[in-house]
Amino acid sequence: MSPRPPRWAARLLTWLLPSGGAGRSARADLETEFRERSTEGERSASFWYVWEAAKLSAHFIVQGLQEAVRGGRIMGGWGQQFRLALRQFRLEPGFMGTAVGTIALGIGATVAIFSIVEAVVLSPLPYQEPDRLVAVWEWHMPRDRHRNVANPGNFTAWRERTATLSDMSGVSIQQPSRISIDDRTDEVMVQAALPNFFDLLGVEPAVGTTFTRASDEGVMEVVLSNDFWRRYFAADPSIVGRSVDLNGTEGTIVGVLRPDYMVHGEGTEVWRSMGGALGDQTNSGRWLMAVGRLGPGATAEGADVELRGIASALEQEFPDFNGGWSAEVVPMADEVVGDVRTALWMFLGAVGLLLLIANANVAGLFIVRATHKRRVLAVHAALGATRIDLVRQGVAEAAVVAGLGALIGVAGAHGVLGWMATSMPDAFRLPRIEEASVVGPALLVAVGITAITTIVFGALPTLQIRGGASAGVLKAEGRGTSRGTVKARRFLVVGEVALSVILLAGAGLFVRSMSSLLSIDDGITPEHVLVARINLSGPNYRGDAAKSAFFLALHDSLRAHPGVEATGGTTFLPMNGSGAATSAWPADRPEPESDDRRPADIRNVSGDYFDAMGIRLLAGRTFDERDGPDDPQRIVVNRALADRYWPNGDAVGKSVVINWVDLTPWEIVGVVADVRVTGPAEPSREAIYIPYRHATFFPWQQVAVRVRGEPLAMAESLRTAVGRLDPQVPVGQLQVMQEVVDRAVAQPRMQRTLMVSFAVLATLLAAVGLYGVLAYTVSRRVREIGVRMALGARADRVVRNVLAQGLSLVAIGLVIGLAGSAAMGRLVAGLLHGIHPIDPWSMAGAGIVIGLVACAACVVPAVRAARIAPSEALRPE
Amino acid sequence: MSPKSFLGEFEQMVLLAILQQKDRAFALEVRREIEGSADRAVSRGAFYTTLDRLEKKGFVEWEEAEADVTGRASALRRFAVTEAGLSALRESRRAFDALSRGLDGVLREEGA
Repeated sequence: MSPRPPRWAARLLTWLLPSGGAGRSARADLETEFRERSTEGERSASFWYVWEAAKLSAHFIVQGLQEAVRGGRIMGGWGQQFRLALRQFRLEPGFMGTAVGTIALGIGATVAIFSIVEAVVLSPLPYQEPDRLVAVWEWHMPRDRHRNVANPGNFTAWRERTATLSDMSGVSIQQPSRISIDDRTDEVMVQAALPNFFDLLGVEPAVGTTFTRASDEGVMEVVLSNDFWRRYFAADPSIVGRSVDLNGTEGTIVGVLRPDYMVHGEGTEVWRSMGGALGDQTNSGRWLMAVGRLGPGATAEGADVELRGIASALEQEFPDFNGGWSAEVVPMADEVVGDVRTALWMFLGAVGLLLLIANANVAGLFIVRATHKRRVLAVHAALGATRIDLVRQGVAEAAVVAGLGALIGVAGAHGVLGWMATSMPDAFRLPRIEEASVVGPALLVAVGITAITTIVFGALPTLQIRGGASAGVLKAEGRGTSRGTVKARRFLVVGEVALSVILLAGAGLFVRSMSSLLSIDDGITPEHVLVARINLSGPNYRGDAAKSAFFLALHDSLRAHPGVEATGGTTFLPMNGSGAATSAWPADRPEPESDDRRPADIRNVSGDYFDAMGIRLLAGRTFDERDGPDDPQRIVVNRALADRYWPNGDAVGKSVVINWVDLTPWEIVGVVADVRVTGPAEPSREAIYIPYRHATFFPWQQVAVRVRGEPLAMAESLRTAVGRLDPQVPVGQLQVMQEVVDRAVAQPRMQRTLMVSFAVLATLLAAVGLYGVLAYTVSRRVREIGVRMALGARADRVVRNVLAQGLSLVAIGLVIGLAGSAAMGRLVAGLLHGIHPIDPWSMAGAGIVIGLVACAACVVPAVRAARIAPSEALRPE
Repeated sequence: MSPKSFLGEFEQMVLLAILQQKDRAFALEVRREIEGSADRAVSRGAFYTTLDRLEKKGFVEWEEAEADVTGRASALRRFAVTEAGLSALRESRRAFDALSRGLDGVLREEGA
């Protein structure tokens, strides 16, 4: 399909340009040029298109207005008012420019953020009736461990007994596997899915089909992820029907998923169908991610209650296996969006504040201007303009300002969204961000609110003019300001200061929370470490000896490489969010009841893993040649485990039972620092390290190589070393350890970045608003100040007077803002780490910054007031 | 619609560019001809407005060219200069030449 220009911009053009020849030609040519340009990059072509479309629209709008005015086509004098409004840009460039810029900023930020929230949180999943889909998990009540993968036996029982779910299916957790197609062998992340999995979700494939009925008959069918298909097969649609070998089992490719597929499959490259009997409660652990579709009339809450009932029956039937285990049902939408939801709603709140500030600014500008405008209008009225004419003029001016501001704002939002979808570093990416585009509702809300504000405040002064009143206004010499306007202006200054303090204090909270997160010791030294997954699954490496011999040889060969400081391997990387765990307890204590068992993470390590990953040894020793395959079973534990059972620091030499293969005790030879599994925000978990050669039930190692200098420079040597040992063994997930760590802190980092940008924008807007309101006040008081100075008032008195007026308002705003930020701290408490939600530092910082900005905004007009020459001020207008 | 109407500088350029492009005088090509030959950027809006104005004055006419002729996705307008347009151009040129007489020394480009 040929590239298309942004749809909203194209629609805008259709709407704004004349329908005749010129408009049609212009649109068609613009589209042709867009296509020509998109050969060099669709993104930049889109930017170009939007910019050209904006210019073209502006041209035709202005031209249309001019023609309308000339031809008198616009009824009842509107045309003339628009012409006058456009003329204001020449007469008052400062005022009009500030108003348009403020509106553009407010609308642009609101539309961009709202569109992101729309795409990421609000829009339905791309499946049939997505609101009928649920995820079903097990729930370990004693440890309050929610969303635990399910046992297949329990799953089968749920499926047989449920009445609220019309159907259920499931998919396994991810497993790295070897894939061979023709002569090529690679490592991919595979999930095994029940044959009805995709049908239940209602997933439409991009190419071919999803699993067919043949899966039920024991044939292994394979579905590819869109990304893998593009990378591996260059998006060749003819791959359907080809046979593949997955870990030694033959299968057939039946189809490719669409790029937006997202249920339980982040990072999965290949799905294989899972036929035959599932395990049960005696011979299989928990590894299935279950999904279900609600039957007619059923709700997720109803299903939750029902499944918990079934689970408690299963607890009676299998007390050993299911003791303490229940079930929970979660709507699928919650499952997919997950943790970012709270953060995004908070950003929506922040952007709402920003829109408020922008609107307050615009209102302020118009109100202040009204003081001056009243006099002009009174002159017009005295010269015979009807009230309708005057209102029209006000509305026309406001409409032009709002329209231009909105246009620039929306174009800016489009640019920001495009940038976020393409150029945002991976670590900061939001799920489904590519689907974000400027959305109708956001446009409507932001533009609507702003248009109403602008037009109401723009037209307000004209409503106050009545035929009879004009003489009074004229007599007042334009000096006076009505009491209503003064009040409104004060209210605005106070409000703006308060809102900015809230936003800035919020940003402060996130910055401090992020710093506290980043300063947590994650137990490793990720710099200069290259990691890669080396997977030995398949027929050539059956048995412990073959696997451990391979890794022994690999580490020897890498260690001999100049520049390598240490090399080792583990089954699961730190800060990567997953891994194996089982319960463990001291060998000299009785086996705990199933409810009291505490899980410990199990890592099978090879080589000098602790040195390679930079994990500090706290007591005893790490593994060495004394821990050969025939030596006694020895382990290294982390501090959390050692402290829990041996708080006096004498863990070394004690023994632990690991509930894994058998219950033979393992002797502790060393204690190492705690390492975070998912990210810095998570509390330390107990962990046990077992020498790989003693337990090779995971056929892979995440090999970590610590080098002097740039770790990626080592990549080729690592590939060569593996290839020399066995060219059939793939090197997967080659990456720098620092990237793994960066990904783990990406969410809080992104929240900080966004919040800081809002705060900067808000501070800027507030400064512009304050300055505008105060400066205008002073400029309208030129006459009064001039008189005072002519009567002998000293310049410093004038400055002090103007300053005091501004600063008293700022002070009130600060107090309200600080109270508001305390309230806001409570709202976002769940997103913060390591700091109290009412954080004196953030609040003080925000108060000081806004205070200073506000002072600066007051000082300039005050000084200008003092320089007013009485002669000039008193000259008749 | 008087043929006596004066031609603006930009209008002259548009008419000349249409003549240059002959049977490929689609709006996009005409604009590119002006940008290439006159070495100046042409405002899109002003350009289409000028085409419309020239049509109203009766100096250009257009026909819808089929998509296969344009080589593009949609049918486009192909422009041609009318007899009135030609005489207006000639009139402009005559006035220009008359006014330029004896000024060759002044008008010659530097280094030419």
